[in-house]
Amino acid sequence: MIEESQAAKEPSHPILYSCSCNGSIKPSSDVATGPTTALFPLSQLYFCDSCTDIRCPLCTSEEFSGYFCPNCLFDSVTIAVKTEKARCNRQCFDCPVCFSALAVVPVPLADSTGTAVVLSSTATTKTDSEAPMSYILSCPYCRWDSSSLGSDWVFDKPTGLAARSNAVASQHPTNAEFEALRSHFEKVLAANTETGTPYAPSNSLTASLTSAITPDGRQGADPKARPSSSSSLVVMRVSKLLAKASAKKGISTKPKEVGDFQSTVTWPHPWTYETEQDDSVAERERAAALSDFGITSSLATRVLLSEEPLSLNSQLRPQRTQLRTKRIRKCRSCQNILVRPENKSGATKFTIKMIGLKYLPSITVANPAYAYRSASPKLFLRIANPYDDDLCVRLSSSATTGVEFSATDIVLKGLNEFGEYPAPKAGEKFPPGVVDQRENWAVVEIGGRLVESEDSATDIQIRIDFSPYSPDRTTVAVSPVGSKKGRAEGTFWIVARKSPVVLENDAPDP
Amino acid sequence: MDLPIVLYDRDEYIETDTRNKISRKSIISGPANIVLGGKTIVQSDCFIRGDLRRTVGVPGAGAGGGSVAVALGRYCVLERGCVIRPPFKTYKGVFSYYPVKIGDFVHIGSNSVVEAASIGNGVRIGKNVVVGRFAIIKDFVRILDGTVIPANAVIPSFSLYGGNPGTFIEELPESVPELFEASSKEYYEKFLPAS
Repeated sequence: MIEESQAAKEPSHPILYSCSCNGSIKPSSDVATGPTTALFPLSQLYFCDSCTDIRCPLCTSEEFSGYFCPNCLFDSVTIAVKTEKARCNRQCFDCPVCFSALAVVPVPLADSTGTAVVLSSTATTKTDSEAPMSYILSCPYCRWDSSSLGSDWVFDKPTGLAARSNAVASQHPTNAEFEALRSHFEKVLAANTETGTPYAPSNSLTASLTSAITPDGRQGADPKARPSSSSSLVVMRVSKLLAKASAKKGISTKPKEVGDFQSTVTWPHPWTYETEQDDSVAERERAAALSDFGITSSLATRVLLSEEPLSLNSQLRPQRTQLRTKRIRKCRSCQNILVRPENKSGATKFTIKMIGLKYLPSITVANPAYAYRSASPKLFLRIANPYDDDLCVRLSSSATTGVEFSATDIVLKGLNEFGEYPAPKAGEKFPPGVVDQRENWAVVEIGGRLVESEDSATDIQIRIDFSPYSPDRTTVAVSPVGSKKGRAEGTFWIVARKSPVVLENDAPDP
Repeated sequence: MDLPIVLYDRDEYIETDTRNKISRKSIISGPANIVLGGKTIVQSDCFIRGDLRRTVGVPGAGAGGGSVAVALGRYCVLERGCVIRPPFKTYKGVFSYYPVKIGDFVHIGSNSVVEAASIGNGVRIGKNVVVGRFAIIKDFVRILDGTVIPANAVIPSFSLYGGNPGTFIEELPESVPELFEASSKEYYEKFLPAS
């Protein structure tokens, strides 16, 4: 989840900005009367210039704009993504034990059984071009290698490994069963779409995806085959749910011309192992092996690998590397594009980038050095102007909280991209209440009852209004959010988490 | 929170023409083969192995050893006890070292060992991290403290990696280039001589 992201958990974000969406996916157009529950550090916020309001990860939507493999960094086209199940179709595999990227290494040709491959330490670096070589996948981290899996995972050529591994994987009963189930539900979906039930794909993307994932080339999936147990139970349950939902809407319950699902695979009953006494030598050996944690597969491995849970590391097969995406981010209220990355996987530039950092005054806790000027605990905030032009900022809080500001209306100089600011003159006076002011920022002291109280659990809530500075008007004209498009003005709330923010006087001298 | 001001002993550090600040307590071997982009800080007890460069005779090596073994960009920070070592391998029977290239705004935490082939711009590497031989770290990546990046690993842009072995944890927000650049510049400006 976005709210629980690594960045938000860190104590280095004592100041959180409040988004008007209040944690729902619908952006709100009301001027906030206080901070909402959607609190994010400034680095995670966006700014919609058509709504003139803050947008957070919750009230923006994402669309895929490209796919790439995180290991070989090659871009994948959408069609390939669909047919390859969003995995790399080149040479990239993840180690099934530790999830590092596997390397393709040459080894001297295996004997006729293809299993007795010995990986010598020199095999990876020094190869004799004359000798016939075979290739295996080897993990540079945990030294797992694919020779233990038999001849299926020892390759004649170092290329086209994905196709070979696909052929192996499609023979696996779970994959065959999954293909069969999918093709069955394709038919159910198609039949329901014709009769106009609500199970039709909701948008064009889903439609194209479902059409593309039909097992066209790979016929592991013939639904007319032998009967079986557990998967037909699943199908029955899903069909019942479908029937119930359509009954509510007054639509015919049975999808036409689609029979019940017939599984091609016979599965052992889930609790066979526990109820039946299996005294065979193999089973006893297997049970004994499970007590050795060194060779038993980890929980993460069992959850992430798509096949049936395998209890021993030696049974695990490498997985093709999952692709990552590049995404466009849109405002949910006006569909305005807030972030559009360049499509190439290597590119780190953005063609559109409406991030909060460039549109909202940045508020940070100022250097502890300021705190030693006062006798009682105080909070010092540094407010910086992200715009090229001068900016008026007004600080306020609801009267009941008892938070006091040393200055409420502050004029900040425009940002100079090259950091070329006039040097501060000796004996320069700051505006009244401003503790320090240079470049494009000013430091303000926050005090009062709440800040000085012992109750460290209470957060300090501050309202910020900002508008462009004009010489004839030194105070901020408080205007509702969204008044004028593209103007540097608005209102938002911040929450200062008190415990890491307010400095005690017994802190060591800097 | 603002970064704290770090005061250093003026006698300990050498400041170069391009305003790099290098501790005399660090070991810089083969300085002729090391390029620093400017405004880079190398703190005490670091070890930069510029002497481990390509052996003469390998295609691509400079005549007589003019080749660069370690290249660092602008506004980089090597904290106390870092080791930068060019990676090596035996290719077609010839043992050789390969150059390591590090981009701008790269911050490497204390006691980390880097044997990467390349590190992009805006990379934050934590403390006690091991970056394996020939690893490629692209732009704007953060690596948590204590991570071990295996040899030959590729880390794409805008990623947060952590763990042992290092695995992908989450994507970094789009504002990371601005954030990392600003904090690198702030670090340099607040790294000041005492008195």
